[in-house]
Amino acid sequence: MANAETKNSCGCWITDLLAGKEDVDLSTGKIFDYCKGCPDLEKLKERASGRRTADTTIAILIDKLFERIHSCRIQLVDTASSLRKKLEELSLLNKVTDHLLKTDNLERALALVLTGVTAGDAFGFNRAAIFLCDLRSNSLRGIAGIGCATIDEARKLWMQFDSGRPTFDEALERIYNSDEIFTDTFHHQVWQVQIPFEEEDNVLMKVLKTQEIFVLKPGEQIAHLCPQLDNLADPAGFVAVPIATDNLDFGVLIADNFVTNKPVSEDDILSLKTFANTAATAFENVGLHNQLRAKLEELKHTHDLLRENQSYLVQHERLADIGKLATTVTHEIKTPLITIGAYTRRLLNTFGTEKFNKEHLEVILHEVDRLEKISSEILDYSKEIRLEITSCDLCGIIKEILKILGEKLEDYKIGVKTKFHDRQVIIRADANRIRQVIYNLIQNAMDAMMLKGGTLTISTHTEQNYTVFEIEDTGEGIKQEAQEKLFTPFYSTKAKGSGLGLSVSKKIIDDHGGYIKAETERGKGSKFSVYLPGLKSENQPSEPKVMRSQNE
Amino acid sequence: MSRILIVEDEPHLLELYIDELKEEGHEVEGYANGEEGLKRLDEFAPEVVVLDIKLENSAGGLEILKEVKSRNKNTRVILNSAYSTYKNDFTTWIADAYIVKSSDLVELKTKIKELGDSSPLM
Repeated sequence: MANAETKNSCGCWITDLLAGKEDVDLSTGKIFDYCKGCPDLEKLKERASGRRTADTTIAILIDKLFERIHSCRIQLVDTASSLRKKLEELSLLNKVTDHLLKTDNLERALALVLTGVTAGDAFGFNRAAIFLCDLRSNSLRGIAGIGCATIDEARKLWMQFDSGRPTFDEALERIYNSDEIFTDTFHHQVWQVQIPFEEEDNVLMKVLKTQEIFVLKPGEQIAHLCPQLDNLADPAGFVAVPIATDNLDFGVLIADNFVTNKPVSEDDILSLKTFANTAATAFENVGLHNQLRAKLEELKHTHDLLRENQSYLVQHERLADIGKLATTVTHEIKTPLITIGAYTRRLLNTFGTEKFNKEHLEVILHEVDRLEKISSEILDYSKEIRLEITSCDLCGIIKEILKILGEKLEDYKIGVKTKFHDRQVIIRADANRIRQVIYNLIQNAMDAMMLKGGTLTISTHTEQNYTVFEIEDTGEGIKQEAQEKLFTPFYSTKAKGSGLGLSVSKKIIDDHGGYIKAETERGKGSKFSVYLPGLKSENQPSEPKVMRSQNE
Repeated sequence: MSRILIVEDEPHLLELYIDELKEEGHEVEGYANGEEGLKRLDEFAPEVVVLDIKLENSAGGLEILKEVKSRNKNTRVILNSAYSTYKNDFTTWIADAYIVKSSDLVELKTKIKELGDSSPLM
């Protein structure tokens, strides 16, 4: 404007024009501000009026033209400034959208939207809050708020920032760098708000239902429209817009200018609506993302399960193959073994009178018997067991076995204790198979106490629907590495074992629908507990079918 | 003392069975395959038949069992097998005894004596 006083020396277009200059630049708006009322222009006009009528008309026209140009310019300046504001809003919206699209976290998404609404560098509401539908409590609940609860608080906060109020970028930094995003008192107040869906007259519920924007009109009382917002929205003016996509209603966004008291303009409302739409899309994304993540977790879990099952199947298939091979080989070995053994026995009967022969033949026979026993165990293990279920007395079976082993137990210096919970313990089971299991377990207990002697304790009791018998020794206990493989076929810690005793026992008990449990402590001994299902008294023998169903 | 017919495809084992059972005082005939054994069945008319189940180059013991029992249900049949698996095959139920083959012949001898002594064919 300084040029206005020294226009003649500043290259005024009129002077230039009068001087006959041809390349006069008329594009800069500045020229017109001081040309109006310029003495040179008056001179030009006078010069024109003194001459011809046409010139006068031209002079008036020019005058009017200047008036028009001037008013257009003012409009242009207005439009430009409003465009600039729109551009700022758009770029902010763009920024928020950009960040929103990248977030899969609801809290962060909320913070981004609220920061966008309240950040100082765009339409900057003083504070904003979001309420979301909560289907569990059937209410609209306050979820998050950004802004200050009181004017003093706002002033204090804004003092910290260069521009008076935090810009979007400054606020953004806070969102990404702090563990707890929402710490404002205002937020905690918003958090308390709960508006039941039944409160149909409540203004926020109306916004949610009608999907129409609400602006507080002068003279309206917030307490009447929405009592819950009495201290949270500016009675001088606040706006509430719905957050929704085509598919889903999420909730309501409210904003006001309680510090600056800037009136809420139409433009502000429209921008807020745009923001709310973006927020809705973001929330939908977050929801979808979370669903996807849950599905992914589920899939991963299923995948793990499948892989586990597959490796289990592969292992079983391999074991089955080994089993088949073992059966074939064992059978091939067993037949000649029988022949060898039978002939040895015959020789023993014929020539056994001579001590020397007898001893040698007995060695052969002993080894053959051992091989025969192992091969029988292998053949037994690989075949399917058909149980012949009858009612039998567990105590009887145990006593019978102890009688057979009596001499050996004495030799090993093993004392025997029996604790039966009843005089007779009747079970529904395949007596021969159970005998095999008990025999095997006692045999193992004896092996564990072979060197030092000890106490063998056999007890029975009932537990829920199971009849339980326990065989406990005071032997060496089982080594850590052996414990895991205890029931694995062909695994043995004994020099002479087939490694099938416990796995056969387990199979038999499994087939009965029961289970077998081992507890052991190094140096103190081991305890094997066998659980057989179907606790029945003798007068009510259970059908095998019942056992089967418990089995499944 | 009984007439005993044995079908066993292990020649040495068969020989041993024959010897041992003869020593027990039985009248014994042994064959390595089922068809030969069946040919002798009517004429020899054994009280007890001992059958191996798995027979090479021959009808299996269970087939022979059915044939023996259909000709004369009073003929006692003992199945003598290395497997205990066959116990679950229903055909084995028509046999009078099932023995898991062992180098110890005591069980076999006892069963033969028991079935022979109670035979209605004697």
